[in-house]
Amino acid sequence: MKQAVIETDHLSYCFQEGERVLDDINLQVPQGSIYGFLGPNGAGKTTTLRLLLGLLRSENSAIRLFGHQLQTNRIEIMTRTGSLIEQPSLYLHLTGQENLEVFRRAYACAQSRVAHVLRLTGLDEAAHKKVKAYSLGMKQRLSIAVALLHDPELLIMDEPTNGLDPNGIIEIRELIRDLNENQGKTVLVSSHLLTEVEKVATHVGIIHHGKLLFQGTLPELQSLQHRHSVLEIQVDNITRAEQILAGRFSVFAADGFNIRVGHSGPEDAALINHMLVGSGIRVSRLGVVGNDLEKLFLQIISA
Amino acid sequence: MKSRFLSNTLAEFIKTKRSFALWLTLLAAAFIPAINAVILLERPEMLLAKFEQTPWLTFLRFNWKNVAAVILPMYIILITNLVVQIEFRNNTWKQVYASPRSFADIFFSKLLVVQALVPFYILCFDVFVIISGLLVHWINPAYHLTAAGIDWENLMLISSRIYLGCLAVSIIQYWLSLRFRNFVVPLGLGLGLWISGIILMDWDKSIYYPYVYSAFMFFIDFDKEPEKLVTLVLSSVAAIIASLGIAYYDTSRLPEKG
Repeated sequence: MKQAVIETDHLSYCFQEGERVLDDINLQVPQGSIYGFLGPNGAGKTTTLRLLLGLLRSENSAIRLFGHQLQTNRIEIMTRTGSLIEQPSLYLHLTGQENLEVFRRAYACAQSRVAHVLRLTGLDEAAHKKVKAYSLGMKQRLSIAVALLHDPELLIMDEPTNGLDPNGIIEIRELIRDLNENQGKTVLVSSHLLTEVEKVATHVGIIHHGKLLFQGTLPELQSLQHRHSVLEIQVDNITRAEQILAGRFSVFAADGFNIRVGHSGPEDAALINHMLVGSGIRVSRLGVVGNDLEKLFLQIISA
Repeated sequence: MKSRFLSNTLAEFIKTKRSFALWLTLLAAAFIPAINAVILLERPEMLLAKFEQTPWLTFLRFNWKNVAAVILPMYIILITNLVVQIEFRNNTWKQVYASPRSFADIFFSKLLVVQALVPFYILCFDVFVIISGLLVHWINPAYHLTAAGIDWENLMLISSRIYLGCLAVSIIQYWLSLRFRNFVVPLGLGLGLWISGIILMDWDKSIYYPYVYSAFMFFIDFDKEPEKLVTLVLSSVAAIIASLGIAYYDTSRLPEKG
């Protein structure tokens, strides 16, 4: 596994005494990854991200970014980190260019970066318009431009596609992929939609009720998904099919013509089909039920 | 480090661009001189006698009495609220705190904006007072408010004393504005503290209450009671140091930033 850019060590957090909103979170975001941080609303995603950015006061030293403790190296870490937390944080009475100028001074980066990030996010023509006249998608892109101003190695984005239309969602997704693949940036992106994350993430963390329920690569999540899936097979002789498969697989009858068989991947599906056909059973339909990631996500968070 | 602080302070000034801060400063500064010009021109039979001996000093005091007690504290309460609310209204505190800036940089760069606007208001007010006096003299020369006779010394003395008196209030209001997201809270607290000061002005312990210092700086006759000037200057400086220390410590320890 590549070196972790973000690590949390048994991270817990309470807003009020006895009300634990994060419980024993061990986050590992590998360098060069797009880490999809998933969870339903109120799961603790934003709280985790705010802790990673030092926006919540925490006495524990469980957070490390780039191998350094956040508590003692915040300024150095923030020079290497770009962020977008929840809805756009922009000065609506200023133009896009003025917004970038304000943050350019905070990040102490070259003047040329303003034009560069405006071009990168496709906002060069709207640079002199007041931000209050921007659409939500434009505001979101300007927020990303702010996050990219100082050419950070790490981007932390909290629900960047929230409230966007399908076109806007695709644009942001493409931008995240481009930043990761062509510029080598590590991206931590939170979302409550698995379908959104699975299109772009290389790694996934699932959080619910303040606990990290799953963490791993996308293929690992997909493998877990297969273990939870069932094949539904339409055969001409249910009793005989059950006898053939019973020794190796868990089999149960679904209705008059269908049996359901537990399996753990495409290889198992091929073997089951081979065993049935080889024994003279006529297989007229074979399909996977209940295996989409969305259902798995719901299973994980409701377990 | 120093150049980054200056650069960030300039960024704070950019944030006030197109906000109501400049208009509020100009309108608040012009309000009293404009009204007083009308009063002088409308009521010469009542006022001319008062202006005979020291026309400019009388005119300065005529204008400053309302400003020292009412308009300046109100202006400070409103302008600090307005400057800090730029961040709350636009939801930008979190972006500010997630940038590579120290807390001291963030705290003092914004405070400097407030500390630039207050003297700017006083300067504008003084300019408007002079314009108003010259206008009155141009329309009614009997007031003797000539350009040559402007009492610069008293103008500077009154302005600088009142500025010193209001500094602690500007820091307390800055602290309250940082502390509360809802703009009504620092506004209400500021008005409450100021009204309490007006009520408590006759109390012998009111010298320890910063909200009355600017009024005291104007209304106390330091020629008759010079020891009170020393007490008031010392109290003002102590209040500035104490309020700055408390504001910085408390704000830096807030559990949530942004």
